[in-house]
Amino acid sequence: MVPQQTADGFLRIITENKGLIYKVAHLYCSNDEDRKDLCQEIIYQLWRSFQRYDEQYKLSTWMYKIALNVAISFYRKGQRHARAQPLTADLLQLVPDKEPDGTEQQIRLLRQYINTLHELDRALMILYLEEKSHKEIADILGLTPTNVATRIGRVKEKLKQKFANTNN
Amino acid sequence: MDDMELKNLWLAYDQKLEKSLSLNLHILQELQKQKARSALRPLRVYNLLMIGLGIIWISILSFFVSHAFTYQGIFFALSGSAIILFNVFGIAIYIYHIVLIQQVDNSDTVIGAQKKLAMLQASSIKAVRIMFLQTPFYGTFFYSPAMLASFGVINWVIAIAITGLLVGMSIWLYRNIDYKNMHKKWFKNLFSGWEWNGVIKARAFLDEIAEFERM
Repeated sequence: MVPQQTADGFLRIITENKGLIYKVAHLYCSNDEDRKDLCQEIIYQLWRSFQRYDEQYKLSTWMYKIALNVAISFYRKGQRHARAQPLTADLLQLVPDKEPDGTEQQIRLLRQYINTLHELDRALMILYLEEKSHKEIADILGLTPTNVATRIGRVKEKLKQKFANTNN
Repeated sequence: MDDMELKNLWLAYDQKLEKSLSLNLHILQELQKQKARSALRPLRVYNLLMIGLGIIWISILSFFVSHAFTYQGIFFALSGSAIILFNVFGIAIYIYHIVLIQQVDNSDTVIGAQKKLAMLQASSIKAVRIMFLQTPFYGTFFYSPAMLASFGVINWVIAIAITGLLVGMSIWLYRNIDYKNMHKKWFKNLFSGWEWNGVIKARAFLDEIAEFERM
């Protein structure tokens, strides 16, 4: 039996970081149904791991490691995960904007471009856009900070090129 | 679009999510009550099953082999012993897989965890190429000194041809079952089916990870 304090603590963390889970799931799954499954799987794996979470590590580092690992494995499997007890409703629901503006279109394009990247580059780009330091990105991915800096430069160039091609 | 614009766009996305994303607390609490499950459970069960079957097969063979160390049963005893050794090796690989499964941890670094998962899938092919080396022994176990003594020229030619063919084929397969040949037709025919497609993709992913780490 999990102590109530642990369960409540987890609820608070997920509530505060729901955007992180949604963004990762969105960048590795374009299909709505799969994305629903992936969100559930990420949160489930976070819950399983939470009971062993060592507070000396940064919470965001721990969360990104699990979210990205689950998303990449899910993406590579190329199919929906069989769930022991399927949940019918959405864990995370996005209320669509009534009046989408120009930014909405730009965000969609950015997501689309990131979606075309290799799965590991995609992880790198999410972390870069989330303004994580090279050191933290290196800790999450398991690379050296120098390697992170080099790769970010290359991936950014690819993205800029895509935006430039769209605008021309 | 420069760096700042990219980051501002992402920030706008973040703010939009903050405003319009809702979490279904009821579903989250339901999820917390679910029994422990793992995506790797079927793979663990499969490996345990293969270890079990391997142990049964080795036990049966060992029983017969231990009673065959006589002059007339020497071919059976030696061929059976060789087959046992290959199967012990096979079991060792399945045990190694179980160890790898135990080590896969989603809170590991992304490269670390993904590498272990891909290695787990890709190592099956190494086992297969070594297991092929036992094939010639399935063509020699039924001989006996008495049988060989009664052989005429034709029998000898057939026996040597079959054994030679099996030896040649198993050595050739051992040397050629390699990812560098995965685009070849014979390789695709030999390793067709979804389970091998997964193995081949895993190998390709390991190469991509190595490339990712190199830069």
